[in-house]
Amino acid sequence: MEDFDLIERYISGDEDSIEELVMKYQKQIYALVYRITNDIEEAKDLTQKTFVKAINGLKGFRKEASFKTWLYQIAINTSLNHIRQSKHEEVEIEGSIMGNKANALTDIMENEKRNYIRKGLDELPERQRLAIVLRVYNGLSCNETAKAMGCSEGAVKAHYHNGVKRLRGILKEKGYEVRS
Amino acid sequence: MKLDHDRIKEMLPDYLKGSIPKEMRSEFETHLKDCENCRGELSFITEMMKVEVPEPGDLFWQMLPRRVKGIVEEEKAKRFSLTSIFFRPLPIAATISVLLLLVITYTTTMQKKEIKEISEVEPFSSPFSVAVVDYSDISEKDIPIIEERLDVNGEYLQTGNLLEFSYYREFASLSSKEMESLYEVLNKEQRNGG
Repeated sequence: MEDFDLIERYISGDEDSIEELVMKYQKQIYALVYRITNDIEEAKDLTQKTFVKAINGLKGFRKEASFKTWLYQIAINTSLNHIRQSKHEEVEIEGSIMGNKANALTDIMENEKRNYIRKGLDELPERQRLAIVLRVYNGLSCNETAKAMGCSEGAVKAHYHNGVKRLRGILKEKGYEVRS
Repeated sequence: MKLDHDRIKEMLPDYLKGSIPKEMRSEFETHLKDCENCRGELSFITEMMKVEVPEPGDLFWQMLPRRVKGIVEEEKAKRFSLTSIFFRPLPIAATISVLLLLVITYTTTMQKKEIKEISEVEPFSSPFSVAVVDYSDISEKDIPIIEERLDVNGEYLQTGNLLEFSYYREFASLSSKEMESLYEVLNKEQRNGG
């Protein structure tokens, strides 16, 4: 069912449509929030908060933008506010979380590289990190990313380009230069 | 539309996602073959995409929709109970009672004030007082007769033959209000027998 139909159903009193909306977007929102916070428990908590905020604000939702973009905006704001309030500390990611059994040397190196990418992303300025996360991981177009971030497409392109360049630099410093 | 280097670089995530239009794909891939910079960036983005998000577990996915629904319903109920405080019958009755009491008190106070004001303007006077008696319809001829019947305080002398010749004229000059006052005084003194 289309998002707008589900929203209409909720506004006219069918509260079961909430569950359908959450089921449809929960994985995307969780992945986005996790990539912003880098913490599983915080990501779970903030995913829930994002949906509660969105559902409570559905009556004020204007159908000019897509529900998905609007939901992404709420997720971004909720996550960034949380980070600012709690003065987020960098969390060490354990290899076991990823479920990888790093036995072979290549696996160890691969894991290390991914950890550097993750840490490098965390070191990027907020807007650059967001542009990369939304474009690369969440697969949003430039236009959708601009709407979710509340800026122009030109700004998204600049943030994305500078972010990727900087991240490649960080990895190069660690000895992990990615070549074609 | 001709794709240049910068445009292709911007579209690399879309290419990996498979959302590049078919008509652009061959041009895109031709450029990638020739451009080392774009190939390098494509490899880097592919590496970035390998960074996975840890799974929170099936239970989380199963419970989240129900949990969100529960919280939303709970918050809605809280908001409703807050608004209903102001619409319960008991507070309404209490408020109306207080308002009525205030209105009654105000009205009574105003009435008392009015009565006081009237009594201050028109203080009760003896019907025999000179101030009360209306002399407007009395001619000059009558004045000596009236003066004869006044004592030093300006009160009519009630002794003597008051009824002799001035009785009808005097009473005819009184207004209905004055007559009523006179009747009350006489009645009080039990002198209304005649």
